[in-house]
Amino acid sequence: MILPSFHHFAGCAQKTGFLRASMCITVVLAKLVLVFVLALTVAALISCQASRSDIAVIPRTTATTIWEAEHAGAEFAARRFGVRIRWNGPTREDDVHSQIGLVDRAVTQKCKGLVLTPNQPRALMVPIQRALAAGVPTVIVGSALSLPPQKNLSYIVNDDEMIGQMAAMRVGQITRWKGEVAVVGIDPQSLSSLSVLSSFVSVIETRFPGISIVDRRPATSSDLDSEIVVNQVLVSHPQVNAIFALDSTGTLGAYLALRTRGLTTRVKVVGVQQSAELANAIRLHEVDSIIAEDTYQMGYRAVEALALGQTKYPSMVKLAPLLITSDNVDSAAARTFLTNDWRSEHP
Amino acid sequence: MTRVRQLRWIRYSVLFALVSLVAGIGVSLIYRNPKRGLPYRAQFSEGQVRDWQQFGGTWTVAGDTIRNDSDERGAKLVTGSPFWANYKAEADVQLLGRGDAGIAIRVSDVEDGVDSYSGYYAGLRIDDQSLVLGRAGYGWLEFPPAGMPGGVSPNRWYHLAISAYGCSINASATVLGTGERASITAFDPNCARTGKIALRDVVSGGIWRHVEVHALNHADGEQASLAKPTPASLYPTRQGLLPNYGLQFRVLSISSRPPTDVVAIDSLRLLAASRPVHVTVRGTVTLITPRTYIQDATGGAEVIFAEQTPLKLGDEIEVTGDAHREDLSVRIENATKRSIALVAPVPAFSITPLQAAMGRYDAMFVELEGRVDSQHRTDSSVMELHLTGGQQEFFAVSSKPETEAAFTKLEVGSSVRMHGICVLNSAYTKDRVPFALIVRSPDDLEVLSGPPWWSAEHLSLMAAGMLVLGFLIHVMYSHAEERRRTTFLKERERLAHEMHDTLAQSFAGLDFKLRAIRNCTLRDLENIDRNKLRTELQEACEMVRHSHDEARRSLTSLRPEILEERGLSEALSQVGRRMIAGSSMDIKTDTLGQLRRLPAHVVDALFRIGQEAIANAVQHSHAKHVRIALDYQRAQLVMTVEDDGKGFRPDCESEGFGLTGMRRRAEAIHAKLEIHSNGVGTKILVTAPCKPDTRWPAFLSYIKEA
Repeated sequence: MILPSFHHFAGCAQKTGFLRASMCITVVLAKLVLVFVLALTVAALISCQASRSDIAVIPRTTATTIWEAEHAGAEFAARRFGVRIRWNGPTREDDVHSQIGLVDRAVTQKCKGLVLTPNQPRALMVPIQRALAAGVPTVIVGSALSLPPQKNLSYIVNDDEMIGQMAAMRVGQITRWKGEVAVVGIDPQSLSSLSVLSSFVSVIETRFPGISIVDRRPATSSDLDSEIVVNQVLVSHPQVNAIFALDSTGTLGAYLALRTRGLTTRVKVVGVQQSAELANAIRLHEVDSIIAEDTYQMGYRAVEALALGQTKYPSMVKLAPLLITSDNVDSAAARTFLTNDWRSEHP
Repeated sequence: MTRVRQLRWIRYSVLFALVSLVAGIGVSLIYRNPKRGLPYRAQFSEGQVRDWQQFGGTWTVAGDTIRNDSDERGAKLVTGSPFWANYKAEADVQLLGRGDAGIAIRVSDVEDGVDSYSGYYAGLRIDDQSLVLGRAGYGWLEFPPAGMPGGVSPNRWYHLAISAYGCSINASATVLGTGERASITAFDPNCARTGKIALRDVVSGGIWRHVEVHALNHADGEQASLAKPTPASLYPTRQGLLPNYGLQFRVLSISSRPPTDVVAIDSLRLLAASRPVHVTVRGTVTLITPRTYIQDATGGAEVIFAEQTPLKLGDEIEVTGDAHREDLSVRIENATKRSIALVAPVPAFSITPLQAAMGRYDAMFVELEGRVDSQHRTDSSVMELHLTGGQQEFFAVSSKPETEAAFTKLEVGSSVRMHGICVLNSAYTKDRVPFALIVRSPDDLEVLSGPPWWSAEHLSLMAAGMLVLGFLIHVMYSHAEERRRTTFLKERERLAHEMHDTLAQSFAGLDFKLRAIRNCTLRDLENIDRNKLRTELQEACEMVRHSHDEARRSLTSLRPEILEERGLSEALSQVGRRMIAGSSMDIKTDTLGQLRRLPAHVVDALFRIGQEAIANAVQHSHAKHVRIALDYQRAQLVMTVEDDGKGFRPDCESEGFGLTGMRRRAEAIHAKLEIHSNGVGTKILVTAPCKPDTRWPAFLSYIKEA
């Protein structure tokens, strides 16, 4: 009998001799400890079993609408493949600490998989290595880490070079191949952002020698700061013809600054990363265009890869962006990129 | 237990279970009542915020209001019953800045985060000047917003109300003072049914007052049931025109770029994004070997000079060269320098490993803390430490042999504080850690604390020690059990022998005698030899009495409890007192020397010898005084039993007094038995060897005796 009864205990206590009584009590306590450990083990196994069905999907932030398309893709894939996703992210795009905490929690909860859109490629390296060491299959979406693809680690990222090229071509087209352009919203700590910038600069310099890049400004974490930066650019370079913003915060800041100064007609804004607000500004012809990232496909494919097994998927997928202008903002193709309804499937 | 009592017990148990069940159901119904605690009015004026649970934000009570000053996205303050179902929550709300603020109802499954809860939220939003209503469920789905007449602006009071009956959700907002109003009615087919209320804001911060919750009655429900299902909107792409912002954005005074070609080091990543650029930077030298690094207030860079250039740490120089970007690091090649000044070496930026990992401090002199996980040599024979700090891991590499020696002395598990150049270069990180630290000298290394005691090695040793200890205890216990069992068996054997030697023999003799008497009586009664018959009967009676004495002696020879509890001396004294009870004989007991614990079998043997000796003295010696003495000497115990009786001749005939048993017992414990008897008394001496008391050294024995 594993469980000691009261009579067993009392019988022990009645026996004479201190040593014997001590040994009896030790045996009873050892049985209690054994039962406790067994119960804990069973509980742990049950809890592990319960959490293994979840896929943690962690966007850069849940505070902007761009990642809601990723939410939609992940949600629909989850429904299709009979898995459950846990969607949560930092409240700010620069809150790396919080995102690391969410990754670690997914590992602790032994999630079935992890889909991460890293805020910061280097700071997330070690947490992702911890996840891989714990056997959590991981798909990195958006921008790549410095870790090479490997077992349980694959990438579904933006085609950064194409974004830069697409932006440069659009700037060349709207400035009629001459004039001044300023670049804002560059994240100096992001290889992805620097890659877009590199591609943009290369195409401008090689294909549009009449266009000069007069300013390059780092990204900010808020619309207001971004607006201040663009105001500084406009004062420094009053003849600027176009502004290329590498993130949605920079694009919105540029838009707000130009609106305030009444320059939305003369200075064209080409932005990266879609949002519903910017789509409306395109409809109003106050923002020229945005280069939308296919975040819906990122979410869908990432969950699909985890549900079906990563070995059936290429370890590195680059998704092509879409240029959204006033001509196609309400098209079906653009709607796919702009929607944030995470409850319904995309067309 | 009788059957009647059993039935009564079962009846009481069933009754108690029923009462408990009813009470439990009652308590549960009260607790789960959807109207429990309603109507509810928040008492902020009395500082009562204990019932509220905070999820993000900085919440403070000010007068009769509660205020959140943080610009966090999705800060929440939650209260109420999770079983509240159909109710209306309302409050006066004031926004403190750009963003939105409002009230959430039917809130459950709450975590820190923007939309990390389940429920409905109604708020006033500055960005589109509207009243907004939507459903959160670890994501956000918004119903079509309603433009707010008069707009939404900070520092202005609005009365906001949100109600839910069934799956109909209503929200309304009124400008206090003007009475301008907007409202939204929505129907969510798969609605959240119950939950708490929450005050919530996104970025704006806010102030809330007069927070009240009322249960909705049936009439409200009938009105709400007229609502039609509202398709989920794709806010704001279906929202139509972008609302007029109506905000005055600041235009700051803007300084133009300084009229110099010297650029800040942190701009080099942007300038050299696509190809190398020729630049001039100014900075302070922070490292010379194995590579040269400079830094200014904005960042750091590696410098490779076109020709050998003498440098000292702390030199402030102007460097001109070709800036190359390699991932996130910048290297200035073909550099030339112009000395500007010699200043003191720059102090280190005190940063966390997370900050270092984010790349902002690449090529800069920093101070970090971490725990040493391992140390090893790289392929290029450079000593390298692997450290952990917070949620990050990093390498520390030595730049000099002296630093290597300091690295070697570090124990794994130590907490250290280090100064060095933070580098993201994959030559140092090997793409395994986010950054590495080049430590310049042993002075840049400070051990904060050694490794914790509970290392794996120590814990393993402790576990092994515990196992050995447990094994030893087990062996000792088994040994003690075995000895106890052996003692029992010996005692049984002794009793068996004694009963065979005494009682069995006596009964055999008695049987013989009784048969003889019977045969005698079967003859002619006239010719019975009455004298012989009387003699036979007398002998039979003697045999019965002797057997009785033997039986009594056997019983009294069993080890008394007092021997266990109070020791040999007291046990012998008690045995003696019992034997002389009712007579004029006197018994005296003396104990000499230091009492000490003796083995159980020795004590038993001495007790029985003493008991036999006392019994002989009492029964046969006709003595007036009996003396029992125990003398605990250093290596032996001398037990003496003497009397002042008539004595006897200790020869073979006397062995019937039990002397044989006494001798046998004395031999069993290697003791010496001496019997001295001369006409005026008898003295029995038993000298038993026993181990000396070693708890006190011999040369300190005077202290013990003192």
